[in-house]
Amino acid sequence: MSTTHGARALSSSAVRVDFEVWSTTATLIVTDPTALDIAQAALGDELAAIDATCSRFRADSEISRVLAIPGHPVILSPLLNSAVSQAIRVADATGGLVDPTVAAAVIALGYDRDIGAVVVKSMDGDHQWPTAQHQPAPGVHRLEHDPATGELVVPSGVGIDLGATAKALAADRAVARISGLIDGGVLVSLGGDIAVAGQAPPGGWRIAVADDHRTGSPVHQLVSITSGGIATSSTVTRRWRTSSGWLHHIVDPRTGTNPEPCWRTVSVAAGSCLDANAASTAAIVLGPAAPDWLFQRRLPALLVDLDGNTTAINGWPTTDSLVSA
Amino acid sequence: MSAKASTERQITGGDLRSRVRRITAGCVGLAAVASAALTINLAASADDNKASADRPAADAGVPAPAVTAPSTAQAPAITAPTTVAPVAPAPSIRSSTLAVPQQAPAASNGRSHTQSGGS
Repeated sequence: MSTTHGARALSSSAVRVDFEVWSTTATLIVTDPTALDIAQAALGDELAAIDATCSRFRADSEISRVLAIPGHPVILSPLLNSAVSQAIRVADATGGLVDPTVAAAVIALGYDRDIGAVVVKSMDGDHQWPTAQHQPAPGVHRLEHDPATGELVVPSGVGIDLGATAKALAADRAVARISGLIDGGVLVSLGGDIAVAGQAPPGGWRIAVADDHRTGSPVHQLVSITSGGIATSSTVTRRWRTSSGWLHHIVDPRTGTNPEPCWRTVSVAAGSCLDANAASTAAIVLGPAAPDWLFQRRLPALLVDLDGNTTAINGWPTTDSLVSA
Repeated sequence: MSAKASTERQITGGDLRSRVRRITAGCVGLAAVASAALTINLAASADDNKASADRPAADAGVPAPAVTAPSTAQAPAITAPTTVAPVAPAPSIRSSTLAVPQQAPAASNGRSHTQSGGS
């Protein structure tokens, strides 16, 4: 599932390890180098559990097995119950802008397998892309879910894609789990969705904000946080080319297709990585209304439009602190 | 007879008004008690939901799928599929707001620990 690139020291104390997972990069940093092995094992366990539970790309995952028997009540495992509960909460909190029932629309756009395989598919000039039938998401109100018992009924014709929340949820869960096992601070980044816990290093966790989470891409800004999470959503990553043009992974549940281009990147800080990711995704979907929406929710954010112009909200450092554009 | 009837009318008239007041007060009181009990039950249910939805990382150790096939006879969770998909009311799970951070990010400089961007 993953390839470790090896640990490297960031300073006299913090140590970092990077590895590939879910067609993206995972980063683990701990401020106590002696705790790295424990932290790495815990992170590995957490990612494996999330993958086995929430992945729609695995036929043997728990969510795939649940979706295979529509209309039937199923008792979810505690982990999937938590993931579904959080996905429904996010849908509720964003007014349906981030909705797990968008699955059918995402698949209709061609994102029907791991993103790495989708990109490979898009490079095949002979691939026959189906004519996309834009399908608005049915909405989480169609799901019959009792978080107290873990019972879920998914009606026939309704899919669930936890992709918009599971990665950030995994980051939150991982840092919570690791910080319970070790002293000092811990940072987990899964494809640029970042959660931190424990005692932050002096000056905080320094995070470069960019369009792409991969090292080497142009950096907009350097900020620091000491708790919670930061997430960035971008329309310039996870893209693929179809016979009808370029598409990306962020789908507006209201229309079932990519939102009108407005922001290329939105970064949000929140009390958790999950909530930061929900807000950054919702902002991309909202387009021009995103600054007001974020402002009303008191979520610090940096929005970068298609021309590279930036908007900082709710205490996010202003553009004066931009290191490059 | 008429005296008795008169007495009955006087008693009935006076009592009726009094009884109506008592019954009305009783109904209002019962309604208030019932409303309070319902509120408490709903609050307790919401707390249960919150505790379940916000299960800590200890859940993560071993995923324990409990998906049971429709044909599994002993599985109590499985019932006959509905012919008409019922529409559930919008779920209300825990907070319907996104959690704000303890503090906004601060401008920083130097070498970054990591990078946040699209993936």
